[in-house]
Amino acid sequence: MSGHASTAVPILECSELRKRWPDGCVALDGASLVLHEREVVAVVGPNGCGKSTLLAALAGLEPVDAGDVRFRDGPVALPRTGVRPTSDDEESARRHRLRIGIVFQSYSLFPHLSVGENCMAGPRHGLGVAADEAERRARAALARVGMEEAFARPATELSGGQQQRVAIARALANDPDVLLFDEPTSALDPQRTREVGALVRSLAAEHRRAMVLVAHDLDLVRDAADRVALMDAGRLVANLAVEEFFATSNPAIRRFGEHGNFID
Amino acid sequence: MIRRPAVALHAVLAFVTAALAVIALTGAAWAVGGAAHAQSTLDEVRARGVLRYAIDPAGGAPFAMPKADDPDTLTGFEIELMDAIGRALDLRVEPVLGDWLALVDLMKSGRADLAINGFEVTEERAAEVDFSVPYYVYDQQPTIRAADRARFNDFAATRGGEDGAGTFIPVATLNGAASVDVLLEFGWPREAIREYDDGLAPYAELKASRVDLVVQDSVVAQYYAGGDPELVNLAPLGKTGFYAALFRKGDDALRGEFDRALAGLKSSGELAALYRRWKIWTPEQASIGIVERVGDEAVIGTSDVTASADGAAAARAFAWPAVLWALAKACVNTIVLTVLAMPLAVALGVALAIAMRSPRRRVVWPARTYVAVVRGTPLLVQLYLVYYSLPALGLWLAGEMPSLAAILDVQAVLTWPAFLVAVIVLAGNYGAYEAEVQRAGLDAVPEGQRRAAFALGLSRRTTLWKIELPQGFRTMLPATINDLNSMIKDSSLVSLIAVPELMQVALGIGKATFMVPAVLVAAAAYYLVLSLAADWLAKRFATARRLNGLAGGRRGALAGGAR
Repeated sequence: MSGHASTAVPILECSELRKRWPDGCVALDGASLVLHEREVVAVVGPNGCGKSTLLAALAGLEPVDAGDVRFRDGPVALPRTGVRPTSDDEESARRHRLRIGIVFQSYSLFPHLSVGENCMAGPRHGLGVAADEAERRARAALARVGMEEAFARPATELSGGQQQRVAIARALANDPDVLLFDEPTSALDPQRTREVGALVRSLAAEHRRAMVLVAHDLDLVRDAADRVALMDAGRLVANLAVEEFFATSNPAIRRFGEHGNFID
Repeated sequence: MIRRPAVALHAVLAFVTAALAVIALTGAAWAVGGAAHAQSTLDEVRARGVLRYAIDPAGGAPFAMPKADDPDTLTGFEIELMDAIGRALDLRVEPVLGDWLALVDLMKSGRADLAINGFEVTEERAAEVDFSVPYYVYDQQPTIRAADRARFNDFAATRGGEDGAGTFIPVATLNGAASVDVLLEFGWPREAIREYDDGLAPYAELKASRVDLVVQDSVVAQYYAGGDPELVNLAPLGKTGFYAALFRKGDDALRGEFDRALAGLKSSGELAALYRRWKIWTPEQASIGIVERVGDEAVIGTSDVTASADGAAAARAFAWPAVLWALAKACVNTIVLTVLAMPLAVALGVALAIAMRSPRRRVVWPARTYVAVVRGTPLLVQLYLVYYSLPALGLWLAGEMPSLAAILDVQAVLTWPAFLVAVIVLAGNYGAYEAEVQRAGLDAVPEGQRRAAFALGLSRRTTLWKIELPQGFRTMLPATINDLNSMIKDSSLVSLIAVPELMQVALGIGKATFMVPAVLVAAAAYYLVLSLAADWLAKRFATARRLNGLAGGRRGALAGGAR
């Protein structure tokens, strides 16, 4: 799995991202990361080190104080803290998000819509394709995660694991170039964790879609990731091939690799 | 192209937040335009062939009231008087209905050409309006309970009562009537005088022993107390006064025509015969030139007043089926009003809610101001100002600034239908309440929903319409149905501007037939049915459209936000 990264083309990269919350807490303190085509990067690190904020910033969802994001062909007009975006800025950020799929830790399905409507929302209202084409894409995405039968069911009736899969299908329906997963297994029991892990691995293997995976679950990291980026206090402090990460002699990384957390 | 959606949204917001101001300004402007083109009122009346008079159908018998067996038709001696005037002038006459206290403004706003409804000729009123020649001489008549006959055998005995000199028994009368001045003149202290908004209530109070005496115009006393075995009318007080029709100041040509027609009715004996039919004839009518004729001979007949009240007894004929049918028809207006106004109110509320949540201050503050002002002032006042005062302002402007008035045209607003005003004002008023409801709904949508929508490439506007508003609306559906229920009942206030809805019709029938409690209970039953039906329909609609909240125990997890 490793080795091709050095020769591959960067698809999404960020440099020196900085973000301080209004309460003074620092979320991003010069975070830089390069994601190559067909590469799966796991971002690991202690709680509250800025991992989710990094994902939101990469997707252009969270305004940052400073730093840049580039997507393949050029810079992305990121929302900036305290600056009201122009309509053009908003539109280019929106176009950026169409190329990035994100699966939230809490799923955030739309509770007033059916499963199918949740998955049609992106193609229909984001990409702007016709209703029947949107439905085709939604059904295909749901089939990919094994939830096709649930198409007409209210999203509120699903179990946690089913919601997780629908959330993945919803992100896939836009056919994004990059998929971002925020803690895909954190809310699931061990059985469901294994199922989602298998799904993520197969998604990664199937299309070799570029993915960023924020994860605590080291088994998932070991199985799905090509590289591991270690994040601490708003910075990416190490970036290793996955074999290296689990074999390193660096005591800090070893401690993290053993316990899944610097603090524990 | 890219900018277009944002611009359109803000244009919509600006439009809606300015809605009331626009309505107000166009109202005034149209009124100005209308008046600017007007010739004299008489020419206008001649041109349209219709003389419109303001009158209150719920104000009380025997002036004007719904017929007991046919509540859609008005009857009363003033209705018949106006019919006779119309025949004499060769004009169709048309009553313009309004609450008694608003009749003068109904005329001043140009919706009616004159007002007639037991208006006593007083100096205070003469400063505001012009009077016709009088058409009736009234006296003040005291009324007591029949059981008190031994206690008070004449009016003098009621002064001071049994308690000794200086103690005045509580007395009831009509709010703002000349009888108040008469009582003061007789030495009654203000605190012993209780004023009611209609002519019937004082007698109900007398029967309930809350007061011991009623003093009212003789016509009213005769109609309401004359045939009631529990009550006794004492001799009139000899404090006579005149009823006359009211005209706008300066409408001399029209007033002259009216006076000439009235003089004809007086001398021909027709008016005397009319008063005889209504049992309100008194010899004092001769003092204003009303001649009674038998054949071609002028005669001086005896008084009907203090005689038995056959007329009153006849008017009391109460037909439940006709009354219930009349109330049912009045319900239609209540329903149509609510069905039109509530969706408008919700739409306005949504627009205001969006505006109040805008990051732009210049969008926020007009919306907040609108909500604060409209929620903070009574619906009654809003109705009154929009219906009566805006057109009057327009008329005034036409007088003061004819050049401005000439720029604008459209007579229409002068006669802006009361129903349209009712819908607009109700919607505008409830829109302010709905604004807070919908804002609370939008605030309750988790931030994660917005993010999830943005993440899928939905624009800010699409997110608002497809994700946030539908969820907010569902969350607040019970509150909105609550507002719907309130509106059904608040719609009764539009009777102030003469929209004949359920409450007005009920009161009119009740007062004409002395059956106020019974008719009110019937009206309450109708309201209850309407309210339950609205509830049921709203819930059915919600179920059919899958609007019923965001049910499901896992909602929290489902809608939660990404950190």
